[in-house]
Amino acid sequence: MLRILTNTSAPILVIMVIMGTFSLSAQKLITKTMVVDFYSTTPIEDIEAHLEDGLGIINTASNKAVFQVKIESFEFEKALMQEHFNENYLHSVRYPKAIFSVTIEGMEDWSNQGEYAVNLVGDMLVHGVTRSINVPATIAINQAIGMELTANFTIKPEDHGIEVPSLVVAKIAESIDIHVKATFK
Amino acid sequence: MKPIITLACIGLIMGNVAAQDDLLADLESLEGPSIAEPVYATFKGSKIVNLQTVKLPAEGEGQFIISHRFATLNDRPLYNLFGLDNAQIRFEYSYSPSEVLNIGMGRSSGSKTYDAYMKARLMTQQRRPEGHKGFVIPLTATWYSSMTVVTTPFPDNIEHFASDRLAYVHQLMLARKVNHALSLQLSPTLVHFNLVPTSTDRNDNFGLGLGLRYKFTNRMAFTAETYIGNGPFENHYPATSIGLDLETGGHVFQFHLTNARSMADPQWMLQNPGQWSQGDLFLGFNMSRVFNHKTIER
Repeated sequence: MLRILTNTSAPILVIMVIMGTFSLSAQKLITKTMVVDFYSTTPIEDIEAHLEDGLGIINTASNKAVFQVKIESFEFEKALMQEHFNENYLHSVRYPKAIFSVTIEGMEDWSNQGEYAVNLVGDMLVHGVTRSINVPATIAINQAIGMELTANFTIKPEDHGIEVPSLVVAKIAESIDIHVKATFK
Repeated sequence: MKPIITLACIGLIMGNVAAQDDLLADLESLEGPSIAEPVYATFKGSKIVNLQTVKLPAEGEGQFIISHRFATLNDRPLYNLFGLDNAQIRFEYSYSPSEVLNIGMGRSSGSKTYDAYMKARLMTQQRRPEGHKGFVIPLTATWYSSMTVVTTPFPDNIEHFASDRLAYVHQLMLARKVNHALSLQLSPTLVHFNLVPTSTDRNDNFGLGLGLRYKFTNRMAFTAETYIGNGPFENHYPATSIGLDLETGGHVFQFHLTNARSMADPQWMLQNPGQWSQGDLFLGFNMSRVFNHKTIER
């Protein structure tokens, strides 16, 4: 065995290296249709926004993942809210994207069907401010649908340097609920 | 042999590391080509002071504006509390049946003028995406037309046609949001009076409106406007105003100092007796409130 390896090892190893790199790229799951909803709930006003074009990549070999949404993709019920959201709160021309780079913890085997409770641990970049974040999520693996990820968590505007003027402070929740749902292929 | 295995191992590890670090780059390749997005909020209000801006309320939105111009500042200002004892009032309501059309009506006191108007967006300025070399629309263009009816009695004891009370304003508004703070507007204007003082006076009068806003905080902006043009009326001086925009949720508050007390088209443009140099100045405000008449599936 050892001798065979010795004799043929050089080319095989080279091939392994090349294959290794290629197979890694095959181990990436992607989505271009991540759905993100956010809810700001106060006794005075409920504000909701929705987008369906979030991007996500998961490397199942390393359990690393990156998610990205375009801030301007959020659609609001009222046009004026959307304008204020982009212009006065998120400054989305200057900070067009929110990026969430994480390690998926608690996910060992990506080939078995089933539902797994995991944690997304990493950095959340919103409004140019990066914060460490640890978010519980659910990963459901189903041969027919693919891999479905759902996560519900909250973001505080304050944590990301998003100012809420005192005049409207009662209308905008201190913690914004974020619901994420994505099917990866 | 050993070096080869070591090399292979390094190669594998490096491949792995590269694959992780590349996730962000991979994400970029997922994004597809960047497209030129329209700019928004070139102006916050649908007027600067009296001059219309390229902004119109969004589809399904109604907008109510109430405006005051107080009495002159140079008439015993302390006794009259800077003119606040007395005001001319305008209110108007408009509705946008579509994203590109706004129709409205208003009434201004003083000359007791009723008006109806429409605004139509013709094109919207676009932002140049990073790395984009192609054409992007550099300007926002909006059309504005209004018809006004003066309902005060004619001063000349001559019998008049009802149509003598009418005047029309047509404006092509061209605006550019230069950066997040500064927006500029040019408004080539045609004013038509059905009745002019003498037979040698022109009914059609061309002029140019100029406007700017400069945002100095998230929700506050400095504004200025002037209208260059002469009509058939004597004792007319260009209406020039400066103002402060304050935005709070569904309201825009605009406070200003102007030499034009009249708010009705085309009176403030071409029949303005006030002079800055004489201190014929008026404090005033426009206050707008937006109502959502229908929820748009956006």
